[in-house]
Amino acid sequence: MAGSNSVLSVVASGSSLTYQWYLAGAAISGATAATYTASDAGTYYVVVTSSDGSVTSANAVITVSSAPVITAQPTAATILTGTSQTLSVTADGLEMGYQWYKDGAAIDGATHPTYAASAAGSYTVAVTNTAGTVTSTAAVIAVSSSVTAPAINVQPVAQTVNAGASATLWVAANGVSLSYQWYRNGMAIAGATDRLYKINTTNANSAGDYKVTVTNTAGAATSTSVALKVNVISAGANTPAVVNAANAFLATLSTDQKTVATSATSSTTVLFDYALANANQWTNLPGARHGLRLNTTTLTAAQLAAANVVIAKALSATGITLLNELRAADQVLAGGMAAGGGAGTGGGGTGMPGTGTTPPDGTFTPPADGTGVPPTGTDPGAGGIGGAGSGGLTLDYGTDLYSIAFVGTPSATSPWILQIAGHHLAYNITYNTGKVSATPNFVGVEPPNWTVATDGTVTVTSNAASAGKAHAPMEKQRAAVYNLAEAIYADSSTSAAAKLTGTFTDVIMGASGNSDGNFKSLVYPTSGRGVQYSAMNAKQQSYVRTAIEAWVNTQASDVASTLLGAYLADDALANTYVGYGVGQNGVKADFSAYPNSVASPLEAQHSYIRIDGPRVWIEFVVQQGIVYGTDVHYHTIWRDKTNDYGGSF
Amino acid sequence: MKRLIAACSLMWAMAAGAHPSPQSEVLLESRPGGIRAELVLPLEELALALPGAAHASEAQMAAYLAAHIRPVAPDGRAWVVKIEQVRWLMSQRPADVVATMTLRPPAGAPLDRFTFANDAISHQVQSHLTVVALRSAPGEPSRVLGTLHYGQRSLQVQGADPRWWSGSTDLFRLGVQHIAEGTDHLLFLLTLLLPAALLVKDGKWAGFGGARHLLVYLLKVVTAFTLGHSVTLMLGAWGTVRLPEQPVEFAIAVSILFSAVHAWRPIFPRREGWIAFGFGLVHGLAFASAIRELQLSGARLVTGVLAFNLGIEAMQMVVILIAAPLLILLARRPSYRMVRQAAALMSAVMAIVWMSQRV
Repeated sequence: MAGSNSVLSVVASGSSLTYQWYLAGAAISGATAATYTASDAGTYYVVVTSSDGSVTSANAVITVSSAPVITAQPTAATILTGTSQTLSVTADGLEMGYQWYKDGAAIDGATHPTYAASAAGSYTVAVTNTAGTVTSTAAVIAVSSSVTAPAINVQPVAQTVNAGASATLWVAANGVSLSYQWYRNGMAIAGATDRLYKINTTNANSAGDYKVTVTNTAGAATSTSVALKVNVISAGANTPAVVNAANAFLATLSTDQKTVATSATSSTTVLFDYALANANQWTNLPGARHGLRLNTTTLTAAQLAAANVVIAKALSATGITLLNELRAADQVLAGGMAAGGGAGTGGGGTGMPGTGTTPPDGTFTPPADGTGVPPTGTDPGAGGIGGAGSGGLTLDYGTDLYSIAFVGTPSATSPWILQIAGHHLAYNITYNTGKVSATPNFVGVEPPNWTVATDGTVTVTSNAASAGKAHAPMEKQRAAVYNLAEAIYADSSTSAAAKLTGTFTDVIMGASGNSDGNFKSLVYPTSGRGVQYSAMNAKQQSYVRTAIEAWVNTQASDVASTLLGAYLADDALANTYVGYGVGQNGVKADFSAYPNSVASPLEAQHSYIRIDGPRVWIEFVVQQGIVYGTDVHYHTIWRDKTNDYGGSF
Repeated sequence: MKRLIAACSLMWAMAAGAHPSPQSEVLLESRPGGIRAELVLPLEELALALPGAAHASEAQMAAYLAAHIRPVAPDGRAWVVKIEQVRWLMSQRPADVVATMTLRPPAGAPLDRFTFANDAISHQVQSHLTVVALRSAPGEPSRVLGTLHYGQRSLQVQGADPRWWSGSTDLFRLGVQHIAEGTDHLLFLLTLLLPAALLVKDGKWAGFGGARHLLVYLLKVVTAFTLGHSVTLMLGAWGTVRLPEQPVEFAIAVSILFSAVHAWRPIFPRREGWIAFGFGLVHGLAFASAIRELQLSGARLVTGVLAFNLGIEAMQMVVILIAAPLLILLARRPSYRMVRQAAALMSAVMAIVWMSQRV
């Protein structure tokens, strides 16, 4: 197929051929000839059909260029007689040409994005491409003989902050038409051209000597150089504690329970070889996992206590709470199934039990100090839930089906992975001396919220804020994406820029069936990523950071602070995007609280949002419930594009 | 269909049955001159891509599917897709649309190698997964080729041709390549040949034994080595014998060290045949891992192993045809002793380096 000047044509051989052209997968009405004149941008192909069958052509991508859009206007200035001020314009668009004007008259030869203006007047620039022309706002240049060089009145102040906190450096100077440029260790910082320079989230890389130069056409002044110190918790500081706890747990196990597994799905041992085939054994599906079950059928009280110490050392208090609450949610599902709940995978969902058996409420205590009061995971007496054999999963629910596994040998100096996994949960934490990776990390929940009355009755249909003990395991994450999505909608330009094409019925970087078997072939998008962080307002930006923190802060503080340092660094955030897919209501991505309390909660299903940075990748999707089919449920995945499984595989 | 895929991979079907976002399944089946494909599409997800999918006419659905199933030959030409039948399985939960179709390569394109793409749902539903499985004939076990997912909406299909000899030339080439690029196999062979033209006297290598002696030695050693690696290659390819890679690699390095010592000073004179057979067994285990990755079965496995073995033999013969005249020329000279010992020393050093790397 050839495409030129948007006329697409196809040559096919055969008799009694019919043609049908497609745009983005949809048949174009009336486009049934061998040629088609495309007027819209998109991916085209043609299907040629004869009595033998159909042949589909290769894709032809048509791009339609749009008129330039000015993203930075030239600025007015008062300049010293005999000097010049460089005016500049920045625009988005393809193949753009520039022409500067002074007082409405084109300036001969001024056809670049910048122009050095030395005469008084009103300057504009026209930016042109084949699709149109846009003219900038006017920048008035005034010429005066009394302009003096800037003088700095207040110098920046040296500071010490904890990693993760913000830091603001500022300067005050006398003079007209001042411009600023901040430097870190002598290097100009891109975009730091204001009187204030704020680092929203400091990390080890933020530390250094800062100075600013203040300039106008009469001269320049440079501030004193001041140090910014950042207190960083060293990465891997917590690793020896986790290794000690892991070894203590191993010491409680029988020989069989710590014999290196010969099958990637073995449920009789905690130890697996350090290989991808063992590391990728996690999924969002219900049922048992490889490794040893965290229940009293599999482990003795002493063994279970030792396992819980490992978990307590590896996660933050919020990470442990999340684990315990998700296990409790799974027990609610077990109760829902026992009470006669049907699978509600059909379009409208089937009958749903409103109540179920008591989850093991109140037995999950996060450590108060983060150093390790282990969770007291007791056996809630679910009894007959047996472990799955080798091979596939048995799709059971229950708090008993969560497991612990070590992929590799726990060590402070060589890589190994701690896995804590079960339905809707996969913590994969790779320890490699000073480097710790917390991904892939899958978190999901059904039901999103429920209450337990004093008599033990579980209610999943009402607002969790109503009477009884309320549970909402993923409230932090839900609230974070809700705030982010709402802030993006509030502004029509970000709302349009962030909208992704297509429908999302699940996360796209999740497990594939029973394991993360697609790990080696994951491809992250390079275009159509949504709205860029730098194009967001301050409120939206702060919600992006809060959302990233909602996932990362489930990890131990050394791990979380190191990862946040990387994910929230200025240059990383500058290249971070947010995209969303609308829910079934067709209007917006709806992450509002307790959708099960509204008339038609399923309108929110397919709501989707993702944060897509140079390393961080977080997706959140709203799905229909499985056990509670008239309610929604959540799936989320957090990956690190360069460092899943410690970057080993 | 679900049960057939389940036969070799239970988990897929279970995942499909239990998940709120069920995946599509494709079973490709080889037929003479074409591929019969059965495509199972979960209706709920299909309806997101094609509104009204539940009530579409068979002709509409056939036209839609033909526009979204794309087999492409290695040269970029599209295959012909003919939708034979579409069924709506509305009574099962979740409901499925099942289409059977015939895929035919364009004239001259191989049946054995093509790219298969399907975006019937995923052109709209970004998170949709499609499991693709292949069986070489009706009744044969199916094998999961992979999962189409976000960022990867097509995959390579190999081994779809049901004819028993198909793919044999590729395997012959693989055998040749294995020796030509397998430095350790090559070094073992060359080291074993170093004293081939020499006679043993008083436990030392003595003078040139003549061309006839050389030929007998070569015949003996090469035949024994071939017999040895053929045995383990067959057993390994069938999966009867399966050893971890590391000890096998280590044993190969050991075999080179032994040959090097022998080339320096005869340690197994006149028993070279048996030694070559023994080490042939070891090298065959390494060859087997290369062929096992292809997951051949039945007659194709037999012809495949044979073709692979013939490739190995062909490359060995090339090596010997180059080495033998050189040996006849060089071994007559007194200075050959120096050449032989220097080469033996180098082989030994290389073997020790490999052994240390493969512990």
